Amino acid sequence: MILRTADLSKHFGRVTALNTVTLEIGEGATGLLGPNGSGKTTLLRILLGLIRGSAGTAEVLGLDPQREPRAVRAQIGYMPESECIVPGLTGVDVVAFLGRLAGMPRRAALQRAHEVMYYVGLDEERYREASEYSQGMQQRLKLATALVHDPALIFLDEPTNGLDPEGRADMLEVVAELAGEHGKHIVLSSHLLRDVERVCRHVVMLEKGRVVRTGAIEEMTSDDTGTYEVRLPEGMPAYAEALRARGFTVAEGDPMLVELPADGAARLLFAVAREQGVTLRGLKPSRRSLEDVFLAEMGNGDAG
Amino acid sequence: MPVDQASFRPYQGVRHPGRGAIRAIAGTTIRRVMRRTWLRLMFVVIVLLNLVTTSIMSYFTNQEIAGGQTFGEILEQRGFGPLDPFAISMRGFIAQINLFSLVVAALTAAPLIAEDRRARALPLYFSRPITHVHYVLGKLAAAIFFLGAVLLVPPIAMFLYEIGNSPAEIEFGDRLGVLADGLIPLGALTLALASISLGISSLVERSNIASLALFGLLLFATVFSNATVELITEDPRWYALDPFYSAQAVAHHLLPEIPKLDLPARALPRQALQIPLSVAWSSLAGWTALGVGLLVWRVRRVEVVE
Repeated sequence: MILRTADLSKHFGRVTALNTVTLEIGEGATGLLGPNGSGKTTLLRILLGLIRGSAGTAEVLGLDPQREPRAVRAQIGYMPESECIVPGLTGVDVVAFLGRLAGMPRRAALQRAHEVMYYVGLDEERYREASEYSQGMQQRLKLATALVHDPALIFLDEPTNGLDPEGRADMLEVVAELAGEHGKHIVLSSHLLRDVERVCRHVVMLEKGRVVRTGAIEEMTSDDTGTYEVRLPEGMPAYAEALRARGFTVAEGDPMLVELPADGAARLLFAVAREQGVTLRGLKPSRRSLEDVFLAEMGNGDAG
Repeated sequence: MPVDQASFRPYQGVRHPGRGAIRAIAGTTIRRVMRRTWLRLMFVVIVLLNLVTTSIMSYFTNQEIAGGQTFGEILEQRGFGPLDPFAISMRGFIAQINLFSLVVAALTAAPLIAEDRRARALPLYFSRPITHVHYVLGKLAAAIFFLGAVLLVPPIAMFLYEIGNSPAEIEFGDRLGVLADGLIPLGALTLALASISLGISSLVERSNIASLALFGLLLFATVFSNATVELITEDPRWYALDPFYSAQAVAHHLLPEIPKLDLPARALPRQALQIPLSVAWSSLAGWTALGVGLLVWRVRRVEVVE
C-alpha cells in the first residue's frame, strides 16, 4: 500500500474540509475525484505534511507525514494546482533550484533540470524567464519541478488546468507513461472525469470532505444489470425482434444494447443469432462510464 | 510534447534532503535580484559610491590637512597621545551609514518575501524536504549579503587601506581590535535591518509596498524618537527607537574616543552619544526579534493558506 488514511479530518475554523476520511491507495495511478471544494487539495497537503490533520492518521510510503514531513516530501513530487512560480528565474533555473531543495547536488540538479525540461517538452523554452511562460507552459514547468528529483510518488493537483485539448492530451500521455513505463505511483487529483479515466486504474471519489466511493475503475464501470453490447451487420431487424420475443429488453442502435432476462445467459444471444442466420460482429458486456458512476455517487449533476 | 524523443531517466545520484538548502535559497534569491538590470546597476553604484566615500575618508584622515600635519598628528601634538587614524575613519563611516543602508534595505531586502508571495511560490518551496527555518535563514542570508555590501565591506576595505598607509607605530592587533569594534555594531545593525525588512516583506504581496513600508517605518522611528526627546520627555533613551542611532551608540561605546576638534565629519550624531550601551543593544535586539518573529509567523501562516 502506497498510502492510507484512517478517520482523517481537517477543520478550518467552522469549515470541515475533510470528514473522517479512510482510504487506501495502492501502486500505479489513482485518481482523486471530486467537485471543487470536496477536500482533494487539503488531503494532498496533509499527506505532504504541509498541514496537520485535526484528527485521524495518515501514512505515506510507510511514513507518518505529521511526524516525518521532510522524509515524506523527499520521496514525493508535488505539482500544485495554483499558478505558482519562483519569480525572477529562467525555467531551467526554477527546476534546478527545486531539485537542490530536494537535496540534489548543484551540478546534478542542473543536469537533471535540463533532462526533465526536455522530457516535458520545454527544451526550447528553458532559458526564458519562467514568469513569461504561457499557462500551458507553466503547467509543464510545474510537472518538471515535480519530476526533477525522481520521486517514487507524484501528486498532481489538477494538472490539465488551463491546457488546450492538445496540451491536455500531451500532459495525460506523459502522466500515463510515468505510471505505466516508469513505475511511478501517481495520485491524480482532478474534477475532470475523462482525465482520470484515461490515466488511472483506481479512483477515490470525494464529496464535501467525505469518501463516497473508492475502488478499481474497471469494477466500478462494469454493468451488473446483465446488459450486453451487440454489433450486427446492417439491416438485421429480425434479430432484435427474435430477442424481444424471448423476453430480452433491446435498445436498437450501434451497438445494440441487450439486457438479459433474469434467468437468461449470454449464450442465448448466439443461439438466437444462429436461428436467424446472423453473424454477430461483436459482443461484450456493457459498461457504464465513470461519469455515470460519479454522478450516481454525487447524487447530483454538478461535477465533471 | 516530444515524449517519443525524450525518455524519462531515473536519477541515480546522491540526495541529502535539507543539506545546502539555505545556501540554495540564499544564492538563488541573490541571483534573482541581480538579474534585474536597473537594480543590479543601482546596487553596484551604491556599493562603489560607498567605497569611494570611505576611501576618501581614509585618505584624508592620513593626509596632511593643516600646517603639514595629519589629523592624528594634530591630536598627538595637542596632548591626546597617538590615535589610530583607522579609528577616526571608522567613526566617520559609522556616522554616515543611514542613507546607503536604508536605500539598499528598501530596494533589495524588503521585496524578497513579497515577491515569493505574489508569485505563490511558497507551496513550491515547502513541497520540498525543507522547513520554515531553512527558508527564513536563506532569505536572511540573502538580505544580509546586500546590506553587508554597504555596511560591512567598506570597513574591511578601510582596514586593508590603513594597513599600508597609516603610521607604523600602531600595532596590527590594535587595528584589528578597532575593526572588530566597528564590525560588531555594524553587524548587529545589518541583522536588525535584514530582519525587519523581511518581516515587513512577509506582510504584503507587492514589492514596492514593502519597500515604501520599510522606508516609512525607519523614517518614522527617527522622527518619532527625535520628537519624543525634544518635545516631550528629554529622556535620551528614546533615541534608541532608531536602529541607526542605536548602532552608532554601540560604536561610540566600543571605539576609542576622539577628542572634539573643530573638524567636520568626525563625530557620531549627538543623539547616539547619549544612548546608554544596554539600551542601544536592547534596541537592536528588539528590532531583530520583531523582524524574525513577524517573518516566521507570517511565513507559516501564508504557506498554509496559499
